[in-house]
Amino acid sequence: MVGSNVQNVYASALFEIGVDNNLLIQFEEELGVVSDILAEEGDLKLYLDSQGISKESKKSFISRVFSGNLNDFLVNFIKVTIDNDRQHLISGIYYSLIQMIDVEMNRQRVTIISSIKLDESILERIKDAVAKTLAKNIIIDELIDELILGGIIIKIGDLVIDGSLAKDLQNMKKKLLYCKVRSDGIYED
Amino acid sequence: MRIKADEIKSIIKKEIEGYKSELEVSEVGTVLQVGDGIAKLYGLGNAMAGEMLEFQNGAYGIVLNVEEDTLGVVILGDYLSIKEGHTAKGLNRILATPVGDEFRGRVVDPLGIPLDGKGPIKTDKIRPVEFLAPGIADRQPVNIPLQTGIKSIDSMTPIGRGQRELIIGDRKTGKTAIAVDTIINQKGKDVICFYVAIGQKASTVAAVVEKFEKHGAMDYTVIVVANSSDPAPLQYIAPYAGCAMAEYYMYDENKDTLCVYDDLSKQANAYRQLSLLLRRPPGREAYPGDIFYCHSRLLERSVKLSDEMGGGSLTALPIIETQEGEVSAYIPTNVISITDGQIYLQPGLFASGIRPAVDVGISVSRVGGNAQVKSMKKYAGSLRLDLAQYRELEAFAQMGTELDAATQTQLDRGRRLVEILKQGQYAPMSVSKQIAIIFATTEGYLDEVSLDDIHDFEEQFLMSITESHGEVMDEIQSTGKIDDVQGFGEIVSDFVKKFMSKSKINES
Repeated sequence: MVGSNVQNVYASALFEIGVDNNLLIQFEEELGVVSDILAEEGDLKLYLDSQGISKESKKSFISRVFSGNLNDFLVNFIKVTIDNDRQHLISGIYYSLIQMIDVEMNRQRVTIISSIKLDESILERIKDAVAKTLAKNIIIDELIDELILGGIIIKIGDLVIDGSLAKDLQNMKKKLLYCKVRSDGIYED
Repeated sequence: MRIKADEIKSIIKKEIEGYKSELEVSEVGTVLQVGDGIAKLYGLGNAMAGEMLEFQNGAYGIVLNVEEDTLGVVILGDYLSIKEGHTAKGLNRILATPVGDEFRGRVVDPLGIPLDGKGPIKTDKIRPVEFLAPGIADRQPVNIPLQTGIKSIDSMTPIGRGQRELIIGDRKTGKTAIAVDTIINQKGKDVICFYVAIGQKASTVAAVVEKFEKHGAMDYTVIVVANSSDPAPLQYIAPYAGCAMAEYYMYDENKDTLCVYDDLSKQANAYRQLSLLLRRPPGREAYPGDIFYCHSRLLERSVKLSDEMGGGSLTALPIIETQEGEVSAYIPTNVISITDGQIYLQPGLFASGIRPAVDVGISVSRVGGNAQVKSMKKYAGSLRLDLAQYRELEAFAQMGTELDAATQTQLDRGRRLVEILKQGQYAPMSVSKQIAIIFATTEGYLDEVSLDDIHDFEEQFLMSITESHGEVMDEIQSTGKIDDVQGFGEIVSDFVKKFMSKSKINES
């Protein structure tokens, strides 16, 4: 999650190649796929991380699987990470890369949490409103969480705009617990 | 318990009717790592050092480290139920504690939550826990005494209102006893007292509370407790919180207050723990670099305010526990240099029955002398010197040489002084009584009374003089002066004669 220095270095190298060759979007998409595969396939991760298997065999495996499917730069990138024993950082590098691309392309990721699936038109309205205030391209990430009961929560980076029913009930509970009762007799023994 | 169901129902109804759903905009961070009461957070890019956070589980935290992309946060409260990935909300304010007159007579934790089971404390006033000490223009010199009721302290190391006087000594030398006696002695003197217990056993604190209740001291006392089982951050902020509660009385009500911090060495240990866990570099004795500032900014908040500011005061009695009398350790030297004097307690004296075990030779009060009452200053002025000479002679006399009459007199006088300065626990004494007995001793009226009878003499003398010469004692109490010194001398010598004849009869 947090960008350690090492992942930032790798990500910025990849980012610069992407900018020079105008391949950023492709990188983002394809590295995402690789990162997903690594997350889902535990065995593959184990194989890549294993110290007992030679780097050569790992690299030839990568060539066999990914060549043709992935951009050559990315295949080379994965091989470089294997050479430097950094293959376990690939998903972290992907995360750092996305952040760099977001800044470059003036994008902002917004998470919208609701209790039921929202209408396209509502989403569109929220998107427009947020885009107008932030002056950024918005990428919406929808999340359904029944525990918020009703209303919506919008998360923009660290900022959270909470308009959920769960929060309202929570606040009301707090208010009732701390409100002053007119007569003090209530706490008398 | 009487609960008016109708009233509660109406309140709930009113709340629900009047409730307006408002959007809550807040900044949140995510917990990356948590353990030992410390959390590392990611996000919250606009968080400030010292800002208060609220974790998902309701616990509060303070941002102490602001790093490139993480925050180091100490958790005040339950840190065991905080997990990786939980969110924490920035509250956009620094740590504050509720204050107010409602706290009088209560036992609370540093966040103002009652621990004595006497129901919630309803107050809407809060004060920041960290508050800047008043500047030079807002202060005035210490000029009113704060009577501890302990003879050896009020006579030789007097404490003024607004002073910071350190009580230092090994374990089991009666440090807490002095502080407790001082608080008990404030009864009826319009001083609000705060006893801040830091890192102590809950049973010890309970015993202190019981003593206060027994002596009627809880009416004007607040007890702030962070037990040794409480998280280190809570122990760290306890003295600041206690000080903030006292500042309410000082600034808003213009009252005199007394804060006892028992004890700051444990607070330093708590701060060392959280500093090391926050990966701040360790210094001498592994304490962090700002441990001096940690204590100096707390004790600097003690003040005698100028009349324009209302004239309130905050007297601090910090307590430091030394190891094997080692005053040159890091924390003791720091606090000694910050305070306006120290009362040093010796285990040797304590063991030999001189209680309170105040070591007169190295105990000092740098400003309290100005605040001492006139007569006390006059008759106790030579006490310190007399005792020093007595100790010197005593060492010499032990060699078994023949002594001339003058030396013998001085020795006898010294022995009586030491005897007179002994005092029982929970028995603070009024200034007039202190002056009377010290007058009697230093002016030589007691020289004929045998050493074994001194204690009885003191008791009977004070009882008789308050009964038969109440008006003289009242005058000393109010003016702080003995107007008719000769007359007072006669009263004393009359009683000595009576006492001597009585003890002679008893002997025969």
